[in-house]
Amino acid sequence: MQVFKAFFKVLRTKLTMAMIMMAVFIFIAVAYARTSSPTQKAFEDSRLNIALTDNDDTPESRSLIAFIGQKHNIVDPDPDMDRNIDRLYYGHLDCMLTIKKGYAEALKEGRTDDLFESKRMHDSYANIYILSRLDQYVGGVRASMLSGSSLDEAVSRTEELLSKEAKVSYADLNTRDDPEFSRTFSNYFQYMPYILIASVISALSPVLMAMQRREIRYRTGCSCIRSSSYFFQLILGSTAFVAVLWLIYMVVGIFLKGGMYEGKAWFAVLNSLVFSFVCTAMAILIATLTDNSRVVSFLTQILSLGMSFFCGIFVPLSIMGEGIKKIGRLLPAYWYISINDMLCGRETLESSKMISCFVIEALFGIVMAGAALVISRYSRDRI
Amino acid sequence: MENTIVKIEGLVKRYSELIALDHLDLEIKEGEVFGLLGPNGSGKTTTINCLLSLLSFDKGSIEIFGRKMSPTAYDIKRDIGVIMQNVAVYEELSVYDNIDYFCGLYVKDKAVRKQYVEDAVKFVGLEEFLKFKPKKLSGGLFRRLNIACGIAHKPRLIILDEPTVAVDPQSRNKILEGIEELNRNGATIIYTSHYMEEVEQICTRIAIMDKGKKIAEGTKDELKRTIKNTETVTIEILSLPEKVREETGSLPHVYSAEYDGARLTVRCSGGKHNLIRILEVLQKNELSFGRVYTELPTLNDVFLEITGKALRDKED
Ligand SMILES: Nc1ncnc2c1ncn2[C@@H]1O[C@H](COP(=O)(O)OP(=O)(O)OP(=O)(O)O)[C@@H](O)[C@H]1O
Ligand SMILES: [Mg+2]
Repeated sequence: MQVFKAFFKVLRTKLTMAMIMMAVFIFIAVAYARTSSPTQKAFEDSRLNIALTDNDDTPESRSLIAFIGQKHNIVDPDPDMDRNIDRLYYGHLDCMLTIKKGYAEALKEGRTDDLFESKRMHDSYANIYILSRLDQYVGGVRASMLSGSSLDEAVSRTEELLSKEAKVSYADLNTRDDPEFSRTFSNYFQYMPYILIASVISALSPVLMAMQRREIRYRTGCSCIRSSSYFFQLILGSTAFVAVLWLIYMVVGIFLKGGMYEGKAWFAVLNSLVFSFVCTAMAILIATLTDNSRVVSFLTQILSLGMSFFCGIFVPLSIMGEGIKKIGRLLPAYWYISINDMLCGRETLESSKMISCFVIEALFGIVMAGAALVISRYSRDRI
Repeated sequence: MENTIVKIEGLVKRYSELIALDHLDLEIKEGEVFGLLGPNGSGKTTTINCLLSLLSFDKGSIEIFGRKMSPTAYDIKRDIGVIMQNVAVYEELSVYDNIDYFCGLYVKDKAVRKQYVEDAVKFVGLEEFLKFKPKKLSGGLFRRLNIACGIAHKPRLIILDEPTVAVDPQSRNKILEGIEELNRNGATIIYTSHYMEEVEQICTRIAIMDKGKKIAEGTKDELKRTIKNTETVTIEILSLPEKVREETGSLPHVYSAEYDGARLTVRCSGGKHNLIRILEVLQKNELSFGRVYTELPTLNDVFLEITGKALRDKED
């Protein structure tokens, strides 16, 4: 079990970042679940002071600045960098955000990575929250554009959706609260795929990439360990790690609910377990496809943001257009959310429909895991 | 009778248009330090990768320890130690954990492995760096770690692909001595390099490669005997009339005289007193000259004579 052991040793070196991410995501998820106007409210009192530099200076970037300005104070950065650092240090400034040159171009081409640069002293929740808010924003623009909108339309539609989100959650309050599956609870589970994807990707992908680096793969290929055994141990390590992550999230779920899961809630638990498996398979597939970290970050950005938007994680499926939903159906999170919607009463619960959602969701994982296995088996000569 | 350890016959490897290996034959006997010498891009690494079944090839056959090599020939791989050209270690693991990991891919028994790892650490002299992460090591130590990871399981056949690239002279000597010691302890060595000095220093037999072909093979003395050059005389001289260069060139045993504006290089084949005769020509023409030196043939001359170009650039 040499490879399995090395997996965890490598994982240990990547864990700090993963822990921070996890803490933040749990915090956001809990806030999201608890408040009627999700997350926003938690940070409403703390309007952040953001020093914003717009290197792009296009209608799109200005529109984004206006969007940020609705919730936060935008200040001009000091031309003297040291002064800025001081202001960050003393907390007069929460973060410095730069919209990189080419932001509008990138959005037009559908790229969502590497658009911003941010400087901050402390990884405070508020800071990470604003970054995840930016994620939602560009993810939304990308999603609308993919379903056929122009850039202008996409921007305005995303802004509309993101502000509508608050009201929809409020409307949900009127539905009868189910003791087995409270609204808090359904919100928590609705947010779960984003947490799972983000934490799996931020912790598991770097480990797998380290283990699959070309030199290491070659070197391992000359040793007398069977390639199937190597792959098996990698999968075992990944699964064990994701299982632990999942358990932590489930325990947090118990605290949120204030007691053990009962009745319908177990289906939500099962649902998130299946989705964890899908995430694991996805991370493994990506790692077998490439060892280029830029490609990995690009793919994971698309997958996590794209999935969150197309599939109703950030914004409920009920207010999304048919076009976006069509694309969503091609992604596993859509089926996860469909199950969640049935459980919390947004959709009528039919057992046959729920079973088929489970099956489709699991199939995604099986297909991706299978593809990874086949590729790794036949990847001799891959340079 | 010595055993054949590696036998490569008619190996052809193409990368789409490029023919990286062109009907290569190699036979390596037990106990040899076999040098694969060739300029950049001549196909050394490709040969090694085919040998290890990391690459598929188009034609030919490869046998190691008398058995056919294949990607799943784990019993053959067990006895091979590999030191790749690109250092293959985990940046995330400590020096000790790296050696232990790679050793563990071959040796399951924990107690044996512990001993092996300690031996390897001592062998490359990394005792004081066990807890270091590879990134913190200097270039030379980094290479030594790579070597330790390759040899810890005490293989019978050790393949080193340019293990001394970007290494300071002190570490380089330590590495070369180490390789000789491994050989004395019974391992057969395959060593690739484009540094002819290294190959001359440690290899008992040498194959010279160019453009995917083996162009010569033998011990270093055999190789040097195959060429007509026996002595190269170099004279620093500020100006040399063409007539005098021609006169030097027509001396007995001299087969080439070249002048580059600062140095006259005269290559001789056999004969004695070549230097004296050349100097006499210069004196007769009342030409003054600076330093004079003569060299015995090197592997570079072998390469030069066969291919018409230098093995590598002077400043390399
Ligand atoms: N994956 C590849 N695809 C295409 N061509 C390749 C590939 N790998 C190597 N080559 C080419 O094959 C030839 C032989 O390369 P190889 O790496 O075997 O040379 P080498 O003798 O090891 O050189 P060096 O001293 O630089 O390590 C070179 O011309 C190289 O450009
Ligand atoms: Mg090479």
